Amino acid sequence: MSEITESAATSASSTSDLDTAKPSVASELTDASTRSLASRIRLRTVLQGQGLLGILIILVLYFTLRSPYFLTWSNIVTIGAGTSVLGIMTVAQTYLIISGGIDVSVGSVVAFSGVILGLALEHGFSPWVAIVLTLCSGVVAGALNGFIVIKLNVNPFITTLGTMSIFSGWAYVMAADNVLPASQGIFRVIGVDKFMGLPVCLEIFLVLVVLAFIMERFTSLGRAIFAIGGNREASRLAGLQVKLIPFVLYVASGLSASLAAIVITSQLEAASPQVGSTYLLTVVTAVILGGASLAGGRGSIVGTFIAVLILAVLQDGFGLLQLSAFAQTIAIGVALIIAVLIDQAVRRSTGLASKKARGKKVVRG
Amino acid sequence: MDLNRDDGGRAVITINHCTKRYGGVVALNDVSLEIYPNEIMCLVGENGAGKSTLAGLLAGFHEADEGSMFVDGELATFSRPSQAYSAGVRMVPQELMICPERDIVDNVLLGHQPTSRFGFVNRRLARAQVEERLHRLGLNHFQLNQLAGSLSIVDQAFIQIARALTPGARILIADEPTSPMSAAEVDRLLDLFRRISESGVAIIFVSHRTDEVLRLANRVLVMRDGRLVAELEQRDVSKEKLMKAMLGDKEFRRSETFVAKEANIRLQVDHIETPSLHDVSVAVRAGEIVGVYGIAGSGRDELGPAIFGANVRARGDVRVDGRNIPPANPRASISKGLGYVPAERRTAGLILENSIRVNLTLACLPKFQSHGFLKKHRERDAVESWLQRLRIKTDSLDAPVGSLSGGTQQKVLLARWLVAGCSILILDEPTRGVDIATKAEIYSLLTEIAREGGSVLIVSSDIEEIPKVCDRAIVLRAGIVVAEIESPTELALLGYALDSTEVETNV
Repeated sequence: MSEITESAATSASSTSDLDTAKPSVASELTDASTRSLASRIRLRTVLQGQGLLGILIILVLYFTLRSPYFLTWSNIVTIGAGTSVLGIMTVAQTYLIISGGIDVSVGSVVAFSGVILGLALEHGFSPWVAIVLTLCSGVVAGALNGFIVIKLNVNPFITTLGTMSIFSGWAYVMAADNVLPASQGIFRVIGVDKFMGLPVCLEIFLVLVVLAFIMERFTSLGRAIFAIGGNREASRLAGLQVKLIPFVLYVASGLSASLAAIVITSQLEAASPQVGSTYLLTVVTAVILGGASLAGGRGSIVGTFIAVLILAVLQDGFGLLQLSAFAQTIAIGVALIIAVLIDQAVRRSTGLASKKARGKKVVRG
Repeated sequence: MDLNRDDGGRAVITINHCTKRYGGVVALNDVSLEIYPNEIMCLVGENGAGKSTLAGLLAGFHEADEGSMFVDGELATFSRPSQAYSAGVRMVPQELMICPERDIVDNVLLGHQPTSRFGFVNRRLARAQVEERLHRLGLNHFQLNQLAGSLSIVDQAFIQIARALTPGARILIADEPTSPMSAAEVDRLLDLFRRISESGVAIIFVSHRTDEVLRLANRVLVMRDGRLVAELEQRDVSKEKLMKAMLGDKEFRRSETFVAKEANIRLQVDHIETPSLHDVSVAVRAGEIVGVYGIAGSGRDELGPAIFGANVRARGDVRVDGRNIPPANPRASISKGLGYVPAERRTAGLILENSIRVNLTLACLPKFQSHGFLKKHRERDAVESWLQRLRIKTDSLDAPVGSLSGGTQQKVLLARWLVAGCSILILDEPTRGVDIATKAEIYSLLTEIAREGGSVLIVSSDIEEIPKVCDRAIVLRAGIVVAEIESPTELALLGYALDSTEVETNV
């Protein structure tokens, strides 16, 4: 557990790396205020990561005490399988939000791609071809979002709000109120089967998280995503691909939604335009809960991962305690606002809260 | 403290030994002054002299660290704009702040519309109030239902002034109101100020245009380096005196130059056109540092972005080492070895929340990667050696760059291009908000770049800077190049930059 804590702590800020702990060879310190600020910022990353992890641990303890079924292997597997659809989408969304964008249309793309999958199967395509078509539909949907936002310069929230409506409506039109069955072998593998003791769908999510973690920490692409979200103009003037990279992230977001569509269709053994509505804003909620900033430049896959687990544990625990699903909705809302408030308070104390405002205040002679 | 003037007029506001610091920079240094009713007082000085800080002090935007203020002889604190407002201080901000989609009535009364008992705006009363106020200012040419956005710049300025002159106004501060205006528009504005002062309101006119000051002022206060260095009455003000006072008697000159007479041209810029630049051409040879000077409104702040490709609306030819670079494409510029340090380092230069390391290597990530993976140790070594060379002191490469001083931030920004191997640099306001010690370091760094065969173009509003480091300078006025000066002096630069032929220049 301590290892996870450590990585969560360091990941909460884009600036810190795993090797932060090593002594710096740079010249000795002269400015006392720089030191205190720097050390507080490291404290902030620790606080945020652990705060989120702390919430998760408290929830797990609470539900374990309240229900004998909570901390059992079968329940853990259930939680994992149940959260993989949401989780898969949060991976791409995390980096989209870090880069300064947002995609609220993912839920509708799940419905849209799911219906494409169902229709392809209905028209007699082989499951593999249907899966490829589904993934292509996600790429197209993401590319459309990216084109409107990046090329036509429309606000990303408004754009994806619009396409959310478009894809959702389109899914209903195409499906014409039918539930389209999908029960071929491959879908059993994705939706129900286990590989090495874990559900395959959960493994898909975990693999994506690991790949994302590597991308975030060790590649120049990861560096560029944070830079673009942190200051787009500065990144542009430094020669970064400030159009291509966000565009690719929109495509990735659409692709992840279609992957999620395949998983949920497999789990339900049927495609329906209604499935997407569950994920309308939960994806964004999870990413923000995980410490990403809507203003861009901040966030991490580890934070998002913990946030997804928190949401999953809340859902499962409330179910076990036979609390109303609406109470769960309330709890998620409260958790989100509290997490953001804590984050803001810590940031204010380190003097980095109002980056935008401070940037504007030009001291003139 | 003598609050009475010889002629018996009482000061409306007295500032007594006020000092204001921003971090290590002293923006205002032991300034004392009195403001009398009816007078037009002009505040002049170069950029960074402390004019706007002083105006801000009067308007309650910030409080002095030391010193005191008196209103009508009574001790007062101006820690909030509302306190200054109730003392009768009205400020016309430098930027035009109007709501373009609202009509003149709404813009004049912005936020102070007369309302009926239930909180509804009383349009008829509002209209009458605005009519009365504009009439009092002699502004009878407005159609009150016109949208403010459709007005000319000077009319928009009039609207702002009318808005500021609410009942109870005793002092009107106008911070460089004329910078975007044409000569005819300036005339109308100056007339308006004269009428306002005749009505009993004191005017504080902040400007660095000497001819306007000469025409308008009863009294001129000259600021330099945060101090009041001269106070001139109308009868003994002259252009020469003003400029001498603004500049002081410092004449710096770079001791060594590295430019060979026949050195090849590394940066060739031809026929740049932007909204405020017309047919601007400049060339920089290997080993040469060239300055671009111009006052506010001369278009100088558009030149750097236009050359580098940061400004999409620019047209013109830019050649680096003889090769053309495409317009509006920073990536292409960088790949040809051209680097650009923007004037707004916090908003367009640095990623404040990110570390020094991230900011330093931002423009050359490909250098430190293989197959997309960053070689962090190589990056770290490179960053550390550059930090040492530039004497950037920090306890950690991972400290957010926003926590560093302005001077250090500027060094980081400059170092970014050196790490990236760019040897042709365009710098916009390279030492704005930078302390004196770091200024000297930046100058010697630029000199070093030139010695190694690099080329540097400095766009600056700091008139001392260009003679210090530049081999040659061009002067912009109203968007065109009006002079090219070898070994520029401050007097020559200022002479060309202002609309003036009276100044003796030895070119």
